[in-house]
Amino acid sequence: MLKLVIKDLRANTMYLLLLFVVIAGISAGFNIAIKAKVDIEVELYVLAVILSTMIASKVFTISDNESNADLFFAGLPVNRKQIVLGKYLSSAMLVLVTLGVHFLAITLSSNEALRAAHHFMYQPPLWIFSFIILTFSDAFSFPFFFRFGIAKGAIVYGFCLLVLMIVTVLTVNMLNPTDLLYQVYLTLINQHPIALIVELAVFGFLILGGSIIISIHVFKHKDL
Amino acid sequence: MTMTNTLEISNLSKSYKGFHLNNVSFNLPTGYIMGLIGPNGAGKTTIIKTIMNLVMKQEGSIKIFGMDHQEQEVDIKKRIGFVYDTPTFYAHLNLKQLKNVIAPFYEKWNGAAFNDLVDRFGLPLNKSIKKFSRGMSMKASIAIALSHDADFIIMDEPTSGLDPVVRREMLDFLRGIMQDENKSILFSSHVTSDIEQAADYITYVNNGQVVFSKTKDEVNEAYALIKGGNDLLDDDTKKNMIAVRSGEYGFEGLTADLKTSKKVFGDQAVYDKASLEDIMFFHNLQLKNAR
Repeated sequence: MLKLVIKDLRANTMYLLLLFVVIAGISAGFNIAIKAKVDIEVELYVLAVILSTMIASKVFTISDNESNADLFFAGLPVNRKQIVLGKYLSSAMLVLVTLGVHFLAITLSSNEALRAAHHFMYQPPLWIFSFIILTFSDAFSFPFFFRFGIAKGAIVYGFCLLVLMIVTVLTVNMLNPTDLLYQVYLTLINQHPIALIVELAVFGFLILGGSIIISIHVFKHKDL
Repeated sequence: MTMTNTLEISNLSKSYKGFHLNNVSFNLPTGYIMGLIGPNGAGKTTIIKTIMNLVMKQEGSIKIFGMDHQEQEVDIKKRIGFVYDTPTFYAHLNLKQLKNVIAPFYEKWNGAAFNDLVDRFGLPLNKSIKKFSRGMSMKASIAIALSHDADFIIMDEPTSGLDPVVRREMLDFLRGIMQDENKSILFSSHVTSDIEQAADYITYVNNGQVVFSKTKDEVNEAYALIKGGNDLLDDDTKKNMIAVRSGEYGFEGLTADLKTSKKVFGDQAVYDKASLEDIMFFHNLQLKNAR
């Protein structure tokens, strides 16, 4: 399986370098924007981090799709389960490295005043939290890509995310402060950050496990 | 000496929308080259992809080196060199980089053999693969497939789209590999002259079915072309032939039973050796007539 990860790295070195330059640029650029001290920029930055990490996590998938690599590697001495696990591992590694590059870039290019103004941005728990959320989102997406391929998979996945978002927004809007669900939400939000991270991690791993099982099942029965 | 089979396929079936691979069975003995022929869309690529477990079979069994091709997939594939009909690579890489990606998958990767093949084929190591011609890409595929001391080489249309010189080189090269009697080769082609030149066994597939799977000598002995005047043709004499085409100057038909045909037509007809192209043509005609 490690061989599959190494082949991803070797085969995509150029794309990775380009991507990380862009990522570092986004993070370093943030410190210029933050001087204006407008909170919306923090939000935009978070959005940029999330989007760039989501895109980065799919670099290997996109490259493999362009090169018809699934077909090629299925002809080598690896089984399909290993191919699926390799993709999850490579993708999680990309999320980790991308967030790491963001964190390093924003930290190294900041000064004390910036760190004081946006204290939480420079704290590791926020980045760990982001890693868990993004790995969870990534896990959610994989079965779609294995089932439908990259183009159709992205559309179906995007549609499902949209539906999920609409349902969540509607539910939140309809909740009253006296509702049990709202109380549960408040309790979760107001926990100690570490507790929240642990809970999310457990939940994320459950989703990841389910996603891996579905992806293996789909890919094992797929004609390439 | 007991003959072992490198490949054993029995009752293999697979259905797609509008295409059925139906009850395919054949064996490839160790130490021989088998040519898989058939017109475009006959099912050659599906058979090869099913052997490689790239396409999932619906029924039947496939054994390679005596092992089930799905249960012991990884062990089997370590000993297979596979060449796709359309070379699939990371085209932005050069051959050296591609070799570095692929070599770790094989315990028996032989760097010296790879370099030797690259030299022999005149392939540039530092040129991006997307700039390779079709012939160069196919040679690169073959160099990669043959650099881990594979016992079984499977090639899907390896000569398709190649110029005659490169094609000839490729076929000579295949014959050269067979100096090692433990190796076997299965290759598909719709170019009958390739099969006639290189194969020991011929498996002819049409419309998803195996028409025959025999040694080249058996095929040469069994089939013959019969030519004669139209006056020789009637319902009974036609039964002796797989298919017949007739024109103003007479008929031409294919028989798979020369002995009986000679009894039927005697000296009034002319008997010629049938080429693989003739065999394919008349079998196809038979299929069309049956529709």
